[in-house]
Amino acid sequence: MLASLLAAIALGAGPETSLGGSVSSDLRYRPSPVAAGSWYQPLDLPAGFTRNQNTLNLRGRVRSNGVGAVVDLDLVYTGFAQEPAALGDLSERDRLDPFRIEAHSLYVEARDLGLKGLDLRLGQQLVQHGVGDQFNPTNHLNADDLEDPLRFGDQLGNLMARVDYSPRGNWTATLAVVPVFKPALLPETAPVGFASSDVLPMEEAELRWRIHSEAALAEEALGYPTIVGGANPELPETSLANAQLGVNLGGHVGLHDLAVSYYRGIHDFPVAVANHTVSVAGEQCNPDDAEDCIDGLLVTEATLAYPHMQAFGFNAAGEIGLFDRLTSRVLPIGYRVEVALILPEQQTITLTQDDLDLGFIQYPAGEYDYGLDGDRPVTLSDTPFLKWVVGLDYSFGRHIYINAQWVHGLPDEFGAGAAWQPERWVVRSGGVDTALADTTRCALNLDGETCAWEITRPRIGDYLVVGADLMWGENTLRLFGILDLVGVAREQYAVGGRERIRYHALTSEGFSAVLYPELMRGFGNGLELGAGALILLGQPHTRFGDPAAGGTQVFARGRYSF
Amino acid sequence: MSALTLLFAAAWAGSGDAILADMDAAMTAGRDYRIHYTATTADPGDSPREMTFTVELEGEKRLVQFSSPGDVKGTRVLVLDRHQMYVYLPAYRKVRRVASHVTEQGFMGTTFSYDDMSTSQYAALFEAELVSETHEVWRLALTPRPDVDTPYGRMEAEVSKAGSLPTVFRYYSTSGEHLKTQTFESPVCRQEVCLPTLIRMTDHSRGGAWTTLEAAKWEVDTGLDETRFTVRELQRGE
Repeated sequence: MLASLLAAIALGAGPETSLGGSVSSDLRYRPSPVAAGSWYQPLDLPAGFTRNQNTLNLRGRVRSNGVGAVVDLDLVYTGFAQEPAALGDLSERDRLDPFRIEAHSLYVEARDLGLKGLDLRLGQQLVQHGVGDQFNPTNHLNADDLEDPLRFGDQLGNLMARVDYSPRGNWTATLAVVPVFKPALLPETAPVGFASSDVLPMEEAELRWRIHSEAALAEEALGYPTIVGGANPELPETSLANAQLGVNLGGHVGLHDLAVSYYRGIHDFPVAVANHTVSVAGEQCNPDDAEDCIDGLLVTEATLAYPHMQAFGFNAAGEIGLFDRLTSRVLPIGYRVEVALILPEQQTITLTQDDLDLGFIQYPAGEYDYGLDGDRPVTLSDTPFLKWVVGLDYSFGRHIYINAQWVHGLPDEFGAGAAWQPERWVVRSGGVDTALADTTRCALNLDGETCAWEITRPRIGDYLVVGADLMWGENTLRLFGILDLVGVAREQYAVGGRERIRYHALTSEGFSAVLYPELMRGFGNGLELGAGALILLGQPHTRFGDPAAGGTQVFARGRYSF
Repeated sequence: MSALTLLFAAAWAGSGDAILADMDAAMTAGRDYRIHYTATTADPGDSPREMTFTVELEGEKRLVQFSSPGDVKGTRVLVLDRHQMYVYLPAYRKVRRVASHVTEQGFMGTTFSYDDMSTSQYAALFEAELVSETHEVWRLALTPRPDVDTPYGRMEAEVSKAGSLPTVFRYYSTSGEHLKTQTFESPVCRQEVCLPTLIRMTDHSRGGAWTTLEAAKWEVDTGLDETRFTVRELQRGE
């Protein structure tokens, strides 16, 4: 189909054809290594080139008498040879010069299908709802594509059937059905998150404190630290019950664009639903400190699942003349509001273990005793929650454009737990800071309240996202930044009970931000060149300082479009 | 000059508003237009850059579709009025609402602003005073109407007595700075509809940078469907 479509485009067959695309190169470098993990599970990200990518994008369309087909493909040469396992691998071109194909669009379409304004699209496509810039909490039909951290808001094409009905043009009703779920594409640095075995996902705080104490006891007294050996996502069955459905009704009232939407489907980021732990005996010592030795490891394997969800969405965009009564020199300010009310499906986690032989102590195989009266701990509650984007934009003359957004919830943040619900915040780091005797007492008494500490942050964060374009001639200096507005909290035991210390956004503990400056120049003939940096700031327990975010990178890229 | 033209001119003499209204009518005499433009822009010291696009317009509404160079190919701009504009950028594969404050920015790197591209009815925005005339043109001084937002502090317009088409616009800031000069040349008429096929905009505040719009091909009364000027139509082109 693809070959014949491209051939038809190239030959100019049919009354309406178009072909375009681009060739682009993207080179990135991580100037400093990012430390992650422990000496017995090093997960550091080394300094060096992180991307060496050349991409051919082809976009074509053939349309005749209201029917047609669209193709939008990337052929990506990733630029890094795969590590050869044997001499023979050096004879395999696809190992030395690996490539992949990304299909953003590959669909057929029919317009005015039996009824004026009734359109059908069938195939791989993107359905982009939401008025927010790059952050769209009401947009669920396509999975998020986080593979490239410079392309905020990218989505993966997915096979779906989409019907639009727009009898008069001003209002459009859209129905889309996605038969087979596709999960979000994660950045290649995501497995660095395995370094964080202390990031316990369950909502029951007492249970977490107890597990922190037990893990500390196993490490400090028994020489068995805990590591995350792996995480195995389990995709939903390809059943009709797991098909996703979205409807959207959008149009404008006066000068304001409005839309409402409903989605029933599956969240594209997984949550932990099972954790199995085994002990692996084997003495080893820190290569840099011969006194620092362990007797073995407690290796946990997590099972991840994708929760079902429903979402009700509202979008509004337009402009408001905030200063109309004061002066005519200030033009109306652009606004956009996107709100999603999300109803998640509750997820619980099952903790199991093999026979654990830790030398002095043995634990029998079976399921962990949570102490929850027979219930399993909750990793995602079914409490409804909100995500939103509120944005304003303005141009100062012809050279400066500024766009600011308050983003309540990034794409991977899911579940009730906003800044004003500290009891529902998620753990970013944890452990114990007590003497071994106290830790032992906590672990053996199955009560870690007096031993454990945790750093938590909102499950749904709040961020200030600001972009500014400074334009002169064919040059643009883009300054883009994201600031975590809430910070973190440290919870620990103090005399009289647990205390909670807030570290706000502008403290060294709580500060977390992204700076993304880029200088671009268009040469007016399809050629664009750019260079910049993605600077991630914050402590490892913060949103952007997390090593799994990949660390700071600098880049240079160019593109010729035709 | 023909007797008919003289008669026509005499009938309007002394009525700047009427001349301006007549110019508006002459520039929008067709029910709709489809114009294929080649735009050439040159900044001082830089090589001229060329861009091609098609404008479909009906009254105040217009749909602009870019076909070259490659970095703007596939970009579409829908203008419903000065306060309601949308752009489809192929790189983002999404239709985006554009607030009217961007109207001060250059339109796709040209010396035309979004306002310049979207304004078609000057009589609704400006009061016109006839300040002088020659055998060929009326010279008008345009000042903003009360309570109407206008992109410029004032304007001067020269309108041809033959056909009521504009020949020169001069744009000034509220402080009187001469910002731009726009010339209209090579009018071509088809039946009762005339169109300047070469428009040049010189931006004095940009060091004399200029853009020419050359109508390589144009059609009038094409029977554009009313749904052509809708957000849905922009989305259809995704």
